[in-house]
Amino acid sequence: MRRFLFLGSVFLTIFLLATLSYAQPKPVYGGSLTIAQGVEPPGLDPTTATSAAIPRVVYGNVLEGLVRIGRDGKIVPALAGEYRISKDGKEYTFILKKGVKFHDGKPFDAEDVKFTFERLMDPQITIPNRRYYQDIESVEVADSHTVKFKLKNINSMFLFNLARPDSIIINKQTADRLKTAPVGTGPFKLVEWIRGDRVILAKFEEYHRKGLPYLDKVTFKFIGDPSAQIAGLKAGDVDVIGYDVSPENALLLEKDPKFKVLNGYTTTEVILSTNQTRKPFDDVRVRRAMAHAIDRSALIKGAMSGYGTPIGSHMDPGNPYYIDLTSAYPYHPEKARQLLTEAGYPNGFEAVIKLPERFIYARRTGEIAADMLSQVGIRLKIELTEWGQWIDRVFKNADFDLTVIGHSEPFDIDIYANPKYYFRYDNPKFQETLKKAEMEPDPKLRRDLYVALQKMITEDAVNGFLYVLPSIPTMKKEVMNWWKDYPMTAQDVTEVWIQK
Amino acid sequence: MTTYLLKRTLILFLTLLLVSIVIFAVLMVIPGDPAQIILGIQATPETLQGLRQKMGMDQPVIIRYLHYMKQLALGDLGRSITYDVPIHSLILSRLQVTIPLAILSLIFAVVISIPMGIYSSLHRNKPGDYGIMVFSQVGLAVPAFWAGILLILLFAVTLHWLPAGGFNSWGENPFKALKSLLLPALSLGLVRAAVLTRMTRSSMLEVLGEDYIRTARSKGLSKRIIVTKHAFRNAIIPIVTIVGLQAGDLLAGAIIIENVFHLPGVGRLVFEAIGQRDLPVIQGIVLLIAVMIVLINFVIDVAYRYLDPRIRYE
Repeated sequence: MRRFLFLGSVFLTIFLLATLSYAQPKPVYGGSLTIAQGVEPPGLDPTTATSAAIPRVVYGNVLEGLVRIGRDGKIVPALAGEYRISKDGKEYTFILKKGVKFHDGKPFDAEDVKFTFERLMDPQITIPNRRYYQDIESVEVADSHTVKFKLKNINSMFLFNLARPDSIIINKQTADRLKTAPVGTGPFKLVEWIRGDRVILAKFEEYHRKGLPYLDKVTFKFIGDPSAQIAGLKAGDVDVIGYDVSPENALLLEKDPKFKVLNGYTTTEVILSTNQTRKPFDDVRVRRAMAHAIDRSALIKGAMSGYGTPIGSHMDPGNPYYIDLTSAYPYHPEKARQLLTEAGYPNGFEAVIKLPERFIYARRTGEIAADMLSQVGIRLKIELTEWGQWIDRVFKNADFDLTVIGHSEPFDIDIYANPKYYFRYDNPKFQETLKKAEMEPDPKLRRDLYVALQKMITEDAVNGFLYVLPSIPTMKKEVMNWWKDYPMTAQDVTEVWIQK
Repeated sequence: MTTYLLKRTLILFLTLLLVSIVIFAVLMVIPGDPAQIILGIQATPETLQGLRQKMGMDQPVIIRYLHYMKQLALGDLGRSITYDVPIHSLILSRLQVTIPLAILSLIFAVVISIPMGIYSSLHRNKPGDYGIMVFSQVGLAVPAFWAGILLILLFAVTLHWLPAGGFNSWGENPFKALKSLLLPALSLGLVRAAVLTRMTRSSMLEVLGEDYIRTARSKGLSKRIIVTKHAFRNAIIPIVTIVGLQAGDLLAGAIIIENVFHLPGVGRLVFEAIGQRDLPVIQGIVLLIAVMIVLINFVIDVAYRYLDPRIRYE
């Protein structure tokens, strides 16, 4: 009987596998893929510079971390086959995968992990996101394939931080080449970076995930002009435009049978940032009035041709802690006017909105938001600002009333705990709760705390929470298995293949 | 001629010195901290300070300028902040795109405009003349980048004859490289041709009304000889002046057109460098542009003399 059961389950498995592979077309090996990208990375090192263009080329393709973020936004193993967290939440043990090789032939082991994190903590090296690693007390090599991280205190974000592009594993011999010719363990190795033009990657034959990757060659072509990207796709020079496709172009290409458009989300929260220290925005009634005055769905339709998911707080729907707060401030111009009257502005007021002219979404969103706000008497003067100036005036010196910008970093609600952050939100209760959340080992309690944090900034209407930027990757219909959503800043092509 | 050359060289150096001071001052004044742009908006003040120190940005402006000039005197333009490679090699590799592009677009402009200008001056107020004038009017009104997009739509997207953009190195496949420069050169050339056509026409009309043309006609010379030898030769000086101005202007045009066709040229390099506040690269390219403009003016001056031996240099 037992044997029968065993055989039965074997057959069942085979049957299931067969139907699965029947339902999904079978991946094809080989081929070359050209991806258009708007911004060329300023160097290929994701640890010493924060431009999102860097991980969008190298992360997951050339360089890998101990863990990574899967397509559904959850943390999955990468170079660490498994990991254990101690009961007190202060010790993480990673069992590394065996038989992993770097592109230069060096076998990957625990010493590389130790080197990587000691470099990230080295004050001599300019690491912009060092706060991800500030809670690490020590990195110990237990044996050649076991690493122990001891933390100073519980940090519930620790594992997530290890899945960020900043935490990619490198080896000592090639660390100084990271910016110009990175050597990693990823499915593709760097062949050439023709500066100003493209980055060429080739299949790494000794990649540790068996049977991957499918493609032989991947080229990232840097095409700044959006209409030139579309022309390249239509002319056949380009196979995929991974992100930043303008929504109206996506709408057109969706109707063309030669192409397909995936409508997913990113981690970029587009917000109407509000300077909390400036009058009249220091009054919560004014901020709530603004929240009631903006019709999010009309805004998304107008600025983004309907692509994009509305949000009610500073968190993207792909985040496991996300809750839907979009109904907190329904579109209600009457109520907005009433709140403004209560705050002492029955006739509204005048202010300036500074829009970073580099980002089309921000410009359009700002223009439409300005129009909606004018309906309730808030008259905004629009100032288009060059990016370098925006960083200097708005971001560094908080010299602004309002602005529109997308915050692309995943899981970045902690920026609201920093009173010096450019929108200058200073709420001790929020700061305490965040600290608690970050030190809470119990996943359920932690979730509750993150929910409370989202509600807090919604209640205070700190910024106008508008929408999450859509991913809208657009490609030839032969390109298969591209990521629909971008829960992490990356364009991972490991599992992408081309239908013949 | 020798004194003239010496004078020119002196002017070149003075221009460069002035340009270097101006560009240094401008880059000081424009807001935007390179360290902040590299490290992003989340970086801590300590990290920012560390990077500034590494880049030598923490020293006083005068010291930095003197240091830069010392390096420059040794022939070293420095290293690019974003690419981390020597700037001279970066610029040299980009010139392999921009210089052929500039030359090709000038050739297009001249080849299109001069025959058209001559033709319309000889057929003044006739349908052909009107047609050409309408063309040049449109050409003047249309910006090069828009012409570029239209050309892409026609030749790349619809006909699939030429690539929509991008560039393969000359070493890889010279024919392919040339092919990818055709459309951008044409879009730059068309706009310039419009100006040159009008210039040629009016210059020719002026000369054709001169007494010596009437004399040549009454001598019974063939129309071809009159047009090429007597009229065009004398009409060419203002045309050459405009061509020279346009050549100097080509780099500015290249910034936009190289972005439309995503060509890795000098124009695109300076555009991205400004966005990234890669100061050493911006300085290097502006100096290069200054050198080129001074050199182009020199070539034009020499050309005047060749074309009109009456012109002398003091």
